[in-house]
Amino acid sequence: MQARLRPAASPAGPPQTALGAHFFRVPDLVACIRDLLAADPVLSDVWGSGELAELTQSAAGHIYFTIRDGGARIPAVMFRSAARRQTLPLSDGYWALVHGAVGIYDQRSIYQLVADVVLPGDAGVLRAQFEALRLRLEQEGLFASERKRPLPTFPRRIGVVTSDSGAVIHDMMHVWQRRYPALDIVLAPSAVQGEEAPRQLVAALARLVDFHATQPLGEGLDAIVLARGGGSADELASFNDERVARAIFGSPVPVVSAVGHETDYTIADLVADVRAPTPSAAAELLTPDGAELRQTIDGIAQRMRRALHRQLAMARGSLDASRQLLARRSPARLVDEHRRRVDDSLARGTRAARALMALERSRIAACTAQLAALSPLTTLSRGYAIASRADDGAVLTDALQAAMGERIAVRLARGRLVGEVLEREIGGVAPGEAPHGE
Amino acid sequence: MENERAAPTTFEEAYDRLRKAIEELEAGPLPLDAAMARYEEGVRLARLCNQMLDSAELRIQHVLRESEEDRS
Repeated sequence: MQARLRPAASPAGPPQTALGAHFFRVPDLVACIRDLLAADPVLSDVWGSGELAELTQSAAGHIYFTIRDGGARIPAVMFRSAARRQTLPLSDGYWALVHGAVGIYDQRSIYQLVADVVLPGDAGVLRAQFEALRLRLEQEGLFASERKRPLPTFPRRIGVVTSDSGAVIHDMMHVWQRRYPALDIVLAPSAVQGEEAPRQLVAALARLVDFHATQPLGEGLDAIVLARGGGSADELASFNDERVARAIFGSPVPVVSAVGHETDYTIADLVADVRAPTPSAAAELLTPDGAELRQTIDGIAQRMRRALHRQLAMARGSLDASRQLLARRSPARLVDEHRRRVDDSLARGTRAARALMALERSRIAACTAQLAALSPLTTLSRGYAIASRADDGAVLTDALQAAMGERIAVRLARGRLVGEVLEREIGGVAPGEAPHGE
Repeated sequence: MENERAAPTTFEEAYDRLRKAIEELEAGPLPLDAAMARYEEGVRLARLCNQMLDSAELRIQHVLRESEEDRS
């Protein structure tokens, strides 16, 4: 390795100009060695195998240990963040394959392996490469959970990258046909295993991205599925390829990985927005269930009817209330009231008038009685009569007023008689006596 | 009253509007005209959603590049 030493440039010490680039203050020398190790492409990404020993865990959660093989040993530390991700339990005497970067512990100038993953000592090359790539991409943020995009609820166009000859596309189409056929599937065929596969997968993804970019707004792809059936770890190697991982990461629409392996995650699974265990599962994840949707829609229709009826009932209720209110304040009611008052007045008036009339009537009766008492007719009814000359009607109060043989009329209480004077007795008649004899 | 929006062209839009209609209808008292309008719109949308589901046909197209067509 090449040493790229930097000259001392500390203002604190006296410049040893005579020594030039070969003069270092100790902190600078330590920093220089640290930088040297960090810049080394091999030592910063190295696998070491050996037996684990002297394992201790600090209160902060860092794990300190030694890796040894024969007489050689190197101290190692796994910091808390890596220790949390470490799934294989570490124990003294365990033969392990340790990945990490060689660094230096500044204060004591001890070099150490800063481990990020420990695998079983017999792990294969593929596994080791996988872990190294996984770590690298993870640190780069390709798997970050905050980057995961949600799948569309009602997708219209789905891009599929898979083999166009296998059962995979058929199985997915079957699920979509049954579940939610309102879909437009855009298939970009690709080999899914073999040496050519990674390049083809990347090219197929690129074709889908092109397709997406050339559609009118809103008509592009809603999601992409990257699918293949299950297979052995070797057959899945294409999905652990860094180029494929970066192509997935670069997709403008959410990507669902469906690599058909229940237990192991591929790098593609980790980068994808959503991982499905199988292609059929991916097809289901991507679409709503049409039957359920119909039920939901029917349910909404029912709820709408109920809500409308409620509204109508409420409106009717408030209408009734208003009507009652209106009725209480109605002019008709006022008119009724006035009418009643008028009726009352009329009745009172009638009563008063009747009383008045009765009074008048009784007064009239009294007058009539009085009048009757004074009337000459009353005298006649007691047997008196009024005699008058028939010719001129002059009332006779003296026998001399009528000649012999003259016709006289006699007024009685009831009726009238006419007669002739046959005889006369003159004078000596007391007042009040009848002027004529019977 | 009736909002004279264009008929929805996608299932998602129809479904969203259907949900909005029922939400508004259930949320509380609306003027009767508005409630009727929501209801009528909702009925139309529900029918449209079902039609869209019923009449939909799954389609598939391939995107190939000439250079890609000779792949194994």
